[in-house]
Amino acid sequence: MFKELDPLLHSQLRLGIMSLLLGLDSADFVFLKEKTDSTAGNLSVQLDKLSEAGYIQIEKSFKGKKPLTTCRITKKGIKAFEDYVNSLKTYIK
Amino acid sequence: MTNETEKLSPQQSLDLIQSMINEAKGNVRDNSFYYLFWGWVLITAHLGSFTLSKIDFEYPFAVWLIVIPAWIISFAYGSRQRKHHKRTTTHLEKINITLWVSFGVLAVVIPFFGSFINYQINPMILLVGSMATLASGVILKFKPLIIGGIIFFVFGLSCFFVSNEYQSLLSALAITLGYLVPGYLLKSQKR
Repeated sequence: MFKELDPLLHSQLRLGIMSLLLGLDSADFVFLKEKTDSTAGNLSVQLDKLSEAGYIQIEKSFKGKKPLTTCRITKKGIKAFEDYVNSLKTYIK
Repeated sequence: MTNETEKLSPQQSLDLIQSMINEAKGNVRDNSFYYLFWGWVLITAHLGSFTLSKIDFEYPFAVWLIVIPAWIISFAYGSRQRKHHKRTTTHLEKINITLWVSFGVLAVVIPFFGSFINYQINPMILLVGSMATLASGVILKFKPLIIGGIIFFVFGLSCFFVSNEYQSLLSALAITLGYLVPGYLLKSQKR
């Protein structure tokens, strides 16, 4: 039986972001942008979507004069990620 | 990465998760600065206090005042690093920092309670330090530091058997072997 995959996570960039944040306590925007090789605009949109769903928490502050966006995964996000991987397993078997 | 409209196959999803996890791994930064800096500060203090007590200086412990500027330098370095290089924090890094800050607090507080523990301050601090060093070694997966923790433990216990004066010498030796050597090895490994 194939389980439905969470559409919010079943997208390359959003899944990439979530996988990165899963292993880290927190990561900033520039780091995520480099590691996922995405454009700032696209990344920003996808981060907002994840944040609206409550999967990640976004904190905006300043590092000197530059704005600093720090992201971290939430408990809800970890749960969603686990469910996603479990659903994924039903496809692989 | 391409846009979200592109559909992923389950295998692609798994590959992506795997590669991102690998990217996030191995981000433990070179923090050999702290080991080398504190290693030298503490060795100087121990040898200084040994020398001062040998020449019958009234307050050989005064040399420990150098840890005050050392704390300031250490904090300044840390906040500068965070400003310029810090982009991610792993949970393990957080644990490592908490460990050493807790150790630092204990190292400052224990001497004030010296009279309660018969002034066995050096062994106590070495033993607490052995825990922090060992755990750090495990966190960084760095064997010399794990061995360093064991060295601290052995020297800490040995300190109970010698006079306060010679405890300083033993401590200096313990810090050289258990802290400074791993610090230099860590530094050379990261370059």
